[in-house]
Amino acid sequence: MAVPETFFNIFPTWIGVYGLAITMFSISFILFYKRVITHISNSIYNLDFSNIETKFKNVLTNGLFQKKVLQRTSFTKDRSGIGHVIIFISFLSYALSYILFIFADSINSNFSKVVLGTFLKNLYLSYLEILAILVFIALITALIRRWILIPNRLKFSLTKKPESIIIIVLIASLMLTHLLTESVNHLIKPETAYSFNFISEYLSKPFKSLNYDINSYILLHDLFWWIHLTIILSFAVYIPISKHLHLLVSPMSFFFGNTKSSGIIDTPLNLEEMETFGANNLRTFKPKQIMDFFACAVCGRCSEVCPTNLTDKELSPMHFINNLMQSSSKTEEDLNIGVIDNQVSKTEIWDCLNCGACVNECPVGIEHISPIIDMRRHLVMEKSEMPKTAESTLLSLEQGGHPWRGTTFTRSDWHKDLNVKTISDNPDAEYLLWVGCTGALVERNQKVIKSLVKILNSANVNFAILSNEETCTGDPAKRIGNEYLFQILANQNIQNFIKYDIKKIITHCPHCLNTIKNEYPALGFKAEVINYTELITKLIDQKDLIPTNETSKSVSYHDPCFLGRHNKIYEEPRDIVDSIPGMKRMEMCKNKDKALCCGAGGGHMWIEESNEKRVSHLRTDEFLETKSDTLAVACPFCLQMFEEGISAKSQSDKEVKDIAELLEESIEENK
Amino acid sequence: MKICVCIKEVPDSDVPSNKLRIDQENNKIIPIENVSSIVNGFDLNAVELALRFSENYDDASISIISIGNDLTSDVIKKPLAMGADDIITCEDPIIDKLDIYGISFILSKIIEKTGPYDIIFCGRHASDFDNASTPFGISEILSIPLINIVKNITIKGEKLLIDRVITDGFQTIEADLPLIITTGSQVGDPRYPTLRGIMNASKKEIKKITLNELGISELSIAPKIQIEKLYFPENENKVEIIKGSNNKEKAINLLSKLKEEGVI
Amino acid sequence: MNILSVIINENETFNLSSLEIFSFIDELKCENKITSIVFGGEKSVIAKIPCDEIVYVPLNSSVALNPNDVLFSIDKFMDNNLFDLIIFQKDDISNYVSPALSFRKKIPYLPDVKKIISKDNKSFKFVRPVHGESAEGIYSVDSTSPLIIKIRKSSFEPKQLNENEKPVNEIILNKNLEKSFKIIETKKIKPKGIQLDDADVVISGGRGVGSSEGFEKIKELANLLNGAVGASRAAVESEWIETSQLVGLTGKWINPALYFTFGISGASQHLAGCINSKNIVAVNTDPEASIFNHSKYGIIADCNEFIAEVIEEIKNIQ
Repeated sequence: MAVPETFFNIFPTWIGVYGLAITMFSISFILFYKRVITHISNSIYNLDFSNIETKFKNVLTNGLFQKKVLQRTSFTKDRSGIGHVIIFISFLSYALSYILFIFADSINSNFSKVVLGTFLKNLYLSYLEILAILVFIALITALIRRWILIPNRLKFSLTKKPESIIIIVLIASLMLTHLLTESVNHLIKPETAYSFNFISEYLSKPFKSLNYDINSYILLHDLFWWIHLTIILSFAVYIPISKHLHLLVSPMSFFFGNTKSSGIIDTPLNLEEMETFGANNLRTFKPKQIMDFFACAVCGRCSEVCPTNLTDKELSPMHFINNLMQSSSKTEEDLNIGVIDNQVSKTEIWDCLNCGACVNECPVGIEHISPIIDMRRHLVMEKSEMPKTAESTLLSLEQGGHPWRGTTFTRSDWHKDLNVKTISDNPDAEYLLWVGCTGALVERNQKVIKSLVKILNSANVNFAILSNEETCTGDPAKRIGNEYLFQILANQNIQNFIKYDIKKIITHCPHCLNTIKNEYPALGFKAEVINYTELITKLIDQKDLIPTNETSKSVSYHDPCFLGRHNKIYEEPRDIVDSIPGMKRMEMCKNKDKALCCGAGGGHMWIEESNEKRVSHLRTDEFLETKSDTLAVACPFCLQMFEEGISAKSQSDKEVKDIAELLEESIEENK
Repeated sequence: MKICVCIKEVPDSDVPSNKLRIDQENNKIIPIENVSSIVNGFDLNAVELALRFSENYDDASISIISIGNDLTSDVIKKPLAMGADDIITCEDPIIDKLDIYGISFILSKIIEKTGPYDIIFCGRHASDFDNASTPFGISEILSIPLINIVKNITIKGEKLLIDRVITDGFQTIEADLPLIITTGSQVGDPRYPTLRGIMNASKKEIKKITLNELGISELSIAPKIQIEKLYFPENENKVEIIKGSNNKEKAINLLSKLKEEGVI
Repeated sequence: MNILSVIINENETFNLSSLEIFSFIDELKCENKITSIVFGGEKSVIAKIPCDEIVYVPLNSSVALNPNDVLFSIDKFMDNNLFDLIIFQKDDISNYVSPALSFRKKIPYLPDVKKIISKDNKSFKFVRPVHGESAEGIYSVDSTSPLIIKIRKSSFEPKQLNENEKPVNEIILNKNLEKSFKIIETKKIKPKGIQLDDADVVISGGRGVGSSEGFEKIKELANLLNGAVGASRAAVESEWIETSQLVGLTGKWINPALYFTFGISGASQHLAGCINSKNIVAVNTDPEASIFNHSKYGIIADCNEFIAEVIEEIKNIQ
C-alpha cells in the first residue's frame, strides 16, 4: 500500500491525514460523548468495577471471539453469524493495518516496510484483499437476506431502515476503494519480491489497458487513496449516529454485563436511602442499562424468540430497547416526565415473562429483563400501580406469606400422613428440602412433592423440611417489582436458615432454586443449593435409586426457563427420564436454551396475559407436535400451565407429569 | 378539614374456617398458624373514602383512632402508609371484654379529646363479631348524624352529596357536616400503600392514651352483654357425592335424584 | 313481658318474612303482650298480624323512608308505652334504627339472634353467629331490664297470619326535623330476569367459574330451570356478574328450594346468605371444599365442564 506523498501537491499527506483524522475523530468522539456518555454519567448510579478479570474475559469471549453471534450458526440453517464474523474480522484487520499503513507511513513512507519487512507486509496486504472479496460476498448476501429473502426476525419496519443499506454501501465502497488503490499501485510501483496480491494484480489489467502515463496513474491512485481515507473517517463519524454504535457500546455492555445466572435480578440493599425506587427515565436507569439501550444492532434475534412477541402482544424486546434509546433524544423536561406511557407502555412492562430468551439470544450483550424490572419497581414501589391480580398476590404475600390467595391448605397439610420430619424434629438432617409455596398449597402440585418425598425416602436421604416455618422465597414479589417485600420475606427465611444452621438445600421449584441460590447471597446467605434433579441423578448413578417398573409411555421433556436457560441444568432431568425402563423420550422442536416459556414467569402465574393468545397454548401445540403421550415437566408452574393447555385443547389422552412423579411410578415399593 | 377514621385490628378474614380455633379464655377466634392479623376490611374502605374525601381540601388532616388489647403496630399503621397523617390508640386488657357500649364510649371520648372532627369514617361492621353497632353508638353519644353504607361523597357548595347503598339500589343524600360515615366494600379497593408511605409510617409515633387519661373508670364501661362461650357449631350435614365415570353420567345421576325428590 | 315488634314495609306490600318475629316470640315461652308497630304496607294484611295490638304508620310511597324518622317515631311511641323487649328483623331501615335506638334509649342490643338457649328470671341466653358466620357465640343478657333484639333472617319460621282482622291504631310518621339528613333521590336497580329473593331455584357461580364467559353458562342453566343467578364475592369482584346478584353476609340472604353452586368453595361469609336453602348442590374440583360440609349433594368436577353436561342433559329431557 503506497501512501501518496502529498495531497495533490497542495500539502504533505501527513497534514491531510492527521488533520482530517483529528477533525473526524473529534467530531465522532463529541457525538459519541453527547449521545451516550453523558447519559451514562448522568445516571444516579455508579458503575461497578469489581471482578475486572471476569469482565475482560466476557469482552474477549463475546466481543472478540463473537461467541453469542455464532451460537445459532449452522451451515444448514442460519448462516448470518458467519457473515458478521467476516465483516468483524475484516474491520479489525483493516483498522489494525491503518495504524502502520496510513498513520505511520504518512510520516515516513518506509515505516511499515521496515517494521514488518516486505514479506510480512505483502502477506498482510494479500490477506486484506482476500478479506475484501469475502466481505463483498457477505455484503451481497446480507443485502439479499435483509431486503429480499427477509427471514422472520427481519420482518419489522425497524429492521428495514435505510441505515442498513448505508452501512453496506459504506463498507462496500471501503473494500472497493482499497482494491482500486492497490490495483492502480501495481502500475506505479510493481512489486518485484514477495508479490502475493493476485487479486489487485488481476484488477490492474483494465487500468493497464487505459494506457495512461505514469502521472495519471499516480493521480488515480492518490484519488482512490484519499477517497478511501475519507470514507473510513466518515464511517467514524457515522458510527455514533447509527446502529453501528454497537461497535463501541457492545464491548462496554459485555464488560459490565452479568456473567452469572441470567435469572439474577439485583438486590439493592439500601432501599431506605434511595432517592427513588426503580427507574422511569435515563437518570434513574443504571449505567449498564443505558449502555444496553445504545448497544442494539437491530438484528431481531430477541424478538424472534420472545414468547410475548410470538403471541402478538405489545412487548417486542428489540422495539422496547430501541424506544428506550429514543428517550435519550428528548428534552430535559420530557425526561423528567418519564418513559413509562411515553416511550414504553405499561402493557409492555407487564407483558414480560422474565424467561430470558431475549438475553440469551442477544449478540451484543443486552440484558432486557433488567430495565423491565426496574420500571416495575417504579410502578409498584413509587406509584403503587399494578394489575389488580398482582396487587392481590402481593397482599396475600404480606398477610399469609404465600402468593396463593384463596387456598384452604396450610403448609403442614400435605405431609400429615407422610413419613417426613421437620427440621426441629430432625436437626441433624443432611439436607433441607425446600418445598415451596406451590408444592405445599396447591392440590395438584402437592402430589408432586409427595412423589419426591417418597423417592428421597426410598433412597434413604436424610432430609427435613421447615413445614409451617417456610415462608415464600419472595420471588413473586421481586418479579412483580416489590423489592421491599421480597427482602422482608427473604430475610425471614434467612433467619430460619441461620437458626437451623442449614448448609445444604434441595429445591423442587426452579424459581425457588434461582432465588435462594443466586439472589439470597446478596442478602448474606450462602449454602449449597441444588435442584432435586441434580440429587436424583446422583442417586441413580450410585444405585441408591433403581427404577425398575417398566413403562410404555412416550415422553417429551419441557425445559423450564428457570431451571434450563437461567441455570443451565439441561441434562439431569433428561437422564432421569432415560433411566426409566421402557420410556421413550422425544425432544421438542425448541428445547434446552431455546425452549419456549410456559407463560407463567415474571409474575404471570398471577397476572393476566394482555391478549387472548396464550403463550402456554403455543408451547402446548409444540408438545402435541411430538405426538408423545406425556409432557414431562420439572416446575410447578409449568405443570399448571400445561395441564390447562392440554385440557383447553381437549387432549384428554395426553398427560402432564413432573419428573418426580414419573420416577416414583418406576421405583419399586420400598419400606 | 379535620377527619378521623376508626379502625379495628381483627384476625385475617381470608383464613378458611377449618383453619381457625377458639381462644376460650379471651373469647376470641384466632387462626391455627401464625397468620398476621389485619385491619378490618371495611375499615380500610373507610380509610380509602376518607383519603378521597380529603383530596378536596388543601388543609385536610386524617387521624386514625384504634382501641384494643396488645395492638400490632405494623398492622394498624397501614392507614398511615396509605396516606393518613397520625394515629391515636388506647390499649388496655379490659377492652377485649367490652361490649358495644364500652367500645363506643371509649371511642367517643377519644374523638372528643382529640377532636373536634368535621367528619368521622368507620367501617360498617368488623369481621370478627359483625355487630354493626359501634358507629351508631358514637353517633348517639356525640350527637352527630350518621349515614351508613356510603359509596361516595361529592361536595356541592356548602353541603355534601352522599351516595348510600340500599338493597337493590342507591340513595343520594344531602347533608351538612359534622357527620359520621360508615362504609362497605362499594367504596372500591383500598389503595395499595406506596413504599414511601410504608417507610414514613413506620417512622411515625403512635400517640397512646390511657383509660385514666380519658377519665374512664372500669365501672362505667362494665359490659351489659357478655359472651359466655364461643364455639364452632356441630355440623350434622352428610353430603352425598354423586358418582359417575364421567361428567355426563354424574349429571344424569344428579338430575334424576333431584327430579325424584321434586326439587326440579 | 311487654313486647314491641317493629315491622318495616318500604314497598307497598307487606313483608311476610317479618312474621318470623312472632315464631321467635312464641319460642320465648313466656306471658307476653305483643304490640306491633308497622310502617307502611297494606292495612288489610296488617290487621291480621298475630299479636295483641297493632299500630300502623302509613307511608307516602312516593317519598323515600328516612330511617331517622322511623327512629324518632319509635322513640316518641316508647315515651308513652313501656316495653321489656323490642324486636326487629333484618332490613335496611331496621339495620339502622335498631342500634341507634339502643344507644338513644340506653337499652342493650343484640343483633342476629338465631336461637334461644334459655330464659330465667335473671338472664336471657341467646345464640348469634360471629366471625362471618363461621362460629357461634352464646350471649347472656340481663332479663330484668329492657332489651332490643334483631333476629337473624330465616332462623325462625314465619308464623301464619290470623284468619280475622283486628282493629288497627293509626299514627302518623313523626319526622325528625333536627338531627337528620335529606334523601334527595332513590334509585332502585331492578336486575333483569327472575329476582333472587323470589326464586325457587338459584344457580350460583364462584371463583371456579373463572370468567364472564363461564357465567353465560350459569345464566343459561338458570334460564332453563326458571331460576335466578347468584354469585359469590369472588365472582362479583372479578366483575363477571353484577353486584346485585351477590349472595352472602353483606349480599342477599335467600332460601330457595334448590341452591346449585358452581366453583364456590363455601366460605362462611357466602354460606351465611344461602345456608337456609332447602337443597344445596355443590360442584367443585376440591373434595375438601367447605361447601361440601353444608350441601346435600356434591360433585367433584371442573365446574365449567360439568355445567355443560347438566345443560345438555336438561335440554335432552325437555
